[in-house]
Amino acid sequence: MFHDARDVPRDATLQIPVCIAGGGAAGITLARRLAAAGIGVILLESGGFQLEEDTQALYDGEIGGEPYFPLSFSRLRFLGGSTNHWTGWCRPLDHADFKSRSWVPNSGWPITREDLDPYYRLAHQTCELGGVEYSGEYWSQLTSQPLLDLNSERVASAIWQFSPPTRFGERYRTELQTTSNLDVYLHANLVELEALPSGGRVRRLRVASLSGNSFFVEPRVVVLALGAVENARVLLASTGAHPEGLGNERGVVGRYFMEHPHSSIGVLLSTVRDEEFRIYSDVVNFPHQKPVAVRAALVLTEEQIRRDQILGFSLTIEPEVRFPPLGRALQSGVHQLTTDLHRGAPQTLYQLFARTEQSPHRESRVRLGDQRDALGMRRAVLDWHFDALTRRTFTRSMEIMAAALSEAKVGRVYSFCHTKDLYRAGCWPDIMGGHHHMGTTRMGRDPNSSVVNPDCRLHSVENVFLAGSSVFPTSGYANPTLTLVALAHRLADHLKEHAL
Amino acid sequence: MTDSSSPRRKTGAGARAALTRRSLLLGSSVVGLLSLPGVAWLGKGLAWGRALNSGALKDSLLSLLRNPAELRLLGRAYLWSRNYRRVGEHPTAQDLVSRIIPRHQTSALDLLNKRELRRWVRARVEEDFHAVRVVSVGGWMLSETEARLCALASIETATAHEL
Repeated sequence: MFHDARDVPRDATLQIPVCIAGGGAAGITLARRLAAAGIGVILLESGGFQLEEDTQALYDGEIGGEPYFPLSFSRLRFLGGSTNHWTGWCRPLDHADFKSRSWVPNSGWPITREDLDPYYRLAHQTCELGGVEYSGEYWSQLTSQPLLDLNSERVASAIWQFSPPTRFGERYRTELQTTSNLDVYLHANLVELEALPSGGRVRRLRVASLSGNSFFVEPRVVVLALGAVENARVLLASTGAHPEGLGNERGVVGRYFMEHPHSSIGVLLSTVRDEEFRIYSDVVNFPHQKPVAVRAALVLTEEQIRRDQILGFSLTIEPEVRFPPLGRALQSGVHQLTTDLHRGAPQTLYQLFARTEQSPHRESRVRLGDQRDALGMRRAVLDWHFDALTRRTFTRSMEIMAAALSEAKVGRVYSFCHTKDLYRAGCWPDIMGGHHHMGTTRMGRDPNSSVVNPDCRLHSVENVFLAGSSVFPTSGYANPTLTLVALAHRLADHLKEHAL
Repeated sequence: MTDSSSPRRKTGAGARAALTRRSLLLGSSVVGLLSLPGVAWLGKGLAWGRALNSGALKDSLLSLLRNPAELRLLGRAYLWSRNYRRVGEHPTAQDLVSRIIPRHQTSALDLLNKRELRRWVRARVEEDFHAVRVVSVGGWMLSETEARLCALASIETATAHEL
């Protein structure tokens, strides 16, 4: 049932087994699962059913470090959260993403891909996808779209499935409305977690609405599912038991913020017909079976990543071309060289678009600024940083991709990050984020380098759990939504069996 | 003791027969030696040296390109990226040719046969790509062999103004 927080009696206290803060993909998934198991749940959602400007402005914050989107632009603050502008890209993390890599500091998850596999299956249902099938050959056959025959020791074709996309607020609204033991409070903002003096347990949550109303929720278990920026912000702002914030005795909360650095990284001068790589350049609809659409990207093999000691990297082929004058000036020479030495004349220009993993970086972080929002909470400051390994991943990956595409005579590659004078001047191609906020409350066994344990519970607080991509220790190159939904299913099982 | 007492000294028909056997042995040894790959390579190597010095190898390489001048910009960009900023500092055409076709790789190559040379250069380019031996030429990712070929074209077609 839906309620409006503005109508709750002021200073009232609501008691409930589980309170989930955040009505996005993770929060709604968890609420549905727990309520379906007969557990009483309160779900707090900051917004209503539609975008409201004053509520959205609660996301406003400052940007330090690398240039980044305004924080209130990256996320949406109403029922369904950021699934309301989600494009639906879905792919599980690779097995290798869960492993510790000697060349990637702070890498390694405390769980394996096998641990998560059953939950990926559930996440596929939640996100309205087909089976957990990501083999390039499988989809190539099913869609009658050929895969590029590239050097298989170095490069592979990775498949993404596309959610319709599921707008969680709309898709599950009726269920949220009709489930008897589930109460959804709209316009309800969690502003502080009040802990016992020991700091080892949260006693109650202070909830406020922009109308000026406020009340309390006393749950046995709290789950924060507010997104990676807001999860950290609420913990850092909850200073009643510890001046540095709840669960932040070791100063890790907010650190290791990660994105997927995106860049229009180059140009492909193709020497094959467009049809030969359509599955890489466009979403291929497949109406006869779920999912309705797939798309491929070129990725590095695990062996190649290990050999070069770089990070995960993916490359899509896009129809719109942005090309610097120097590249244009040299294009006719490349055209002639290709024609003279090889078979097949160049055909069409395509943009190459890269999405890469970034290594976990302690100084890449969310912290509290001095400004305050309309509810009196300190606003977030995002200091996004990525390191030399992330940059080297772009350059080395482009060398490997260029070599593989040229060797297979698919086309010739222009690489923005190899334009030497630009490189020397520090003028990289525009690197931006993908609105993928990860890290800040990372999962691990060591409290010195993580915030939550493998069960996603704060190391030092017995009844506070974290959901969403804030718990990712590393990011992989795949979009985070499917994995965060899988983790929400896993947390639901854990709470049902152990925490209640 | 005189030479005439030497049992190895032969005269007349015996001496002629020994000479013939020696010639045959020597001749067969030379033929045997020449049939060895190393000596065949030596032969090719000598041909390589002659072709390099005469400029014939350079001309053969340039003949693979329909319009070498078209590759001048690429070649200059490659030389620039290798910090050869002034003409006097450039590698010579001979330097580039010997990098494109190293002496030790010529054993199975008829250097001046255009079709064979094209096939050989193509194979070298593919080897480069297979081994990720790529270089950025103004941002374009070329194989090392291609880039050197462009540099050769650039040097050979430079205008007076560029020099």
